[in-house]
Amino acid sequence: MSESITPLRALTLFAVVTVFSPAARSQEPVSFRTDVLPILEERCFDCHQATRTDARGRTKKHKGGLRLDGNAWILRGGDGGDVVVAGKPDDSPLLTRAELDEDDPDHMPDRGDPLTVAQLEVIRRWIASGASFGDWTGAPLDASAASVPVAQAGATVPAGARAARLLALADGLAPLSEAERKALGEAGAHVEDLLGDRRLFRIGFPGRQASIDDAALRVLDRVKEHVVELDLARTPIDDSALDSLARLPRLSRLDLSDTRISAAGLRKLTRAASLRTLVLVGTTLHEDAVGVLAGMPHLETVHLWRSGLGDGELAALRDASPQLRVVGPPSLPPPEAPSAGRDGPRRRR
Amino acid sequence: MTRSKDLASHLDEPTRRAFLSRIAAGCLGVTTMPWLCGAASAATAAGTLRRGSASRVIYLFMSGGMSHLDSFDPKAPGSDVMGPTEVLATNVDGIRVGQHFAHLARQMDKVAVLNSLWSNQGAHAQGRYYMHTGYTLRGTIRHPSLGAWTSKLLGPANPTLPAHVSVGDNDVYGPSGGFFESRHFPLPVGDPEDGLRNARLPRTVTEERFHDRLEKLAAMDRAFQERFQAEKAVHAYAEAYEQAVQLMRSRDLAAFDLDSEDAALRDAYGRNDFGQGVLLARRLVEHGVRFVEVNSGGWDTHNENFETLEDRIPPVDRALAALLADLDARGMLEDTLVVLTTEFGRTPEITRDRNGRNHHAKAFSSLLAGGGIRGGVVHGRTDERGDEIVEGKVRVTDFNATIAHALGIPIDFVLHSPSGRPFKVADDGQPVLSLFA
Repeated sequence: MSESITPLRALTLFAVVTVFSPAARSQEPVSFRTDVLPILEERCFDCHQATRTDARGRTKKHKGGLRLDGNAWILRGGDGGDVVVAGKPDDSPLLTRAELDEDDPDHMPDRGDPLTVAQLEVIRRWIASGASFGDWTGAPLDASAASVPVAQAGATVPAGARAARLLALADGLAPLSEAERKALGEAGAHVEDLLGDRRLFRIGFPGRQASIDDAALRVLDRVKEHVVELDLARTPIDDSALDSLARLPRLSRLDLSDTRISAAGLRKLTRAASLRTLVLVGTTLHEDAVGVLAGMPHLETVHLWRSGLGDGELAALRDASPQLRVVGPPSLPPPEAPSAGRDGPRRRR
Repeated sequence: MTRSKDLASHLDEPTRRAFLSRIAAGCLGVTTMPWLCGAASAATAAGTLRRGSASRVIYLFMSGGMSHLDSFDPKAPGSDVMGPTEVLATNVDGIRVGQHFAHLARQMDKVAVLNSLWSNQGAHAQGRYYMHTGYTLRGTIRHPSLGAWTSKLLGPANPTLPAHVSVGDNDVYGPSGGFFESRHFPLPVGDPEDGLRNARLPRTVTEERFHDRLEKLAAMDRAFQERFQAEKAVHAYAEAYEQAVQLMRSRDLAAFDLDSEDAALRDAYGRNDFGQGVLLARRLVEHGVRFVEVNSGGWDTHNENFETLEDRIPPVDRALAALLADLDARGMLEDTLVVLTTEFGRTPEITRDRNGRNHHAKAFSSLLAGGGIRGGVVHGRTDERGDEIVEGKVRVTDFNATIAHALGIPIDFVLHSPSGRPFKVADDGQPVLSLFA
């Protein structure tokens, strides 16, 4: 709440908006200027208007890349994308975030009381009826609008989700020493530094898979705090290797494609504390693997194309574990009709 | 100092020394590469890492200039700028594509669309060169392309395979090692179905005879090599032999052989040069090749734009849709960046006499997917005619910096040309960070 609004004034505004606003009382059309704008001014502008200097001389920049003090700014959205989707109140974060539980970290407004039921209803009806601004324009876009250029249609992942997860994994972890890093290279590992600061690594053995056995994997014990992604596809390992892998505390992603692992081996991975993604393409699993996979506590995605599990088993896994993303065979374009003849020049032979 | 070690081991001696001394300076707080210096700098700002999650790139280049209006930046159907092109809804609300992208329309949840690319190079050779290298074409120097930078700064993931491969008809303005050493030039594969030619010994030559021949070659070259050991070109020549032999002996030669792929999958990618080239690219990155470019030609639609695209788009639509589904099923989308780009777009105006579209560099479209890029996202916007960018301008160098960022190539790292001029992977480009998960 800005310094200039006294409690009495806030109360008055509140009363005007909730009690006297015609739109709140009836099903008459909502006017942006008389019904919605006062709510935004009172509860949102403090954090979401042009960069300014406050009463104590501090520079206040709009939060989340979002300004609400002009119609073009509202339509532009913030760092997270659109805030208002005309006609779709439930897809409009301006409303949905205000409706969140007060304890939710994404709840808006960030400070003060939640919006009243009447205020939420006004916003809902305004968006549902097409989110027209009428004759109101407010502050025009300026050069800073171009600096965060995002128009998001239906982002599947919020910006920074992966970043947040990796940084949480790395929290409190010291960088890997040069000697240990060297040992990895000498053991034939290809190492990618996921944060660029020697804390978290993706490890694989491209070109050397054939020589990777349990003994070769012992090199991982020396760096076990740092292994986040591990690619053992096409190596001759079997279930016996999985004991040591289950002890890698930050192992989040494991690729065991084209290996001889079985459900018995996978069961050992139930102990892997951070395992989120498991790639099991080209394996020879049986139906007993379904229960094992369903029982992995943190697993989010499992790739099971050509894993020996049929459609029925994949469906059973989806039922047993609705949260789990079960990736089966790819949905490929169907073969071309023989007469189509449009896919470019035919092969000569 | 893992990262610096990785980089340094792939640099030439003088460059390496300069590089390491720069890092030393950097860690003392003086200069340019803070991310090499410790844990504190893993993130640039809340939620933004120093890099995406790509280890490898499949780079699809639509040579000739792909119309943005008929592909990924369609306007109101029936409007004068659209001509007869219809518009398809996709599996992401709010993302629409031109009518010939029916297969890709079902994979758009994996794709970020950039509708605000901007170039100042409106001619083919110049535009293609600029897109590949981030520098404008000039007479005195050849710049390395993104694949060469990847090879040079990240090195091969699989030591027995080249880091950089080009599939299809690429000309001198396409992928190139530029002023880098010969090993960073792309290994060309003209016809994906032929794979790598001359990589196996003739039947009449046994392994012993081959070994014997190599020994004799080394003996004959020895005096020459010793006398000119300071000469880079002499080294490069010997190195090319060594690499060729290494490749011939690689267990991963099978990566080049499409016959080991399932016939149904080959059909899905499309039984044509581009489709099979894209499938080959997937096989190559799977075996540890870092950067594979596949070229599609014939996009210069001055004449009969709409009829031409009816032929050009379907193979690309099919191959890219198959690739994204295939990579996702294999769990490879996280660390494989897929790029579809071109040298420029086409004009909103449709020429009356030839029913075509002319070159349009000031606004065009490209796609990114995988490698830590968020799917189902549109970045940037053009006006209602697709003429001018109104939001989120991405310069060619910004686009290249975004690719470099996905791979973890430091965009501020400077290498010098033989004449001593400083160059960076994407010149002064800045990555579009909001595209990353």
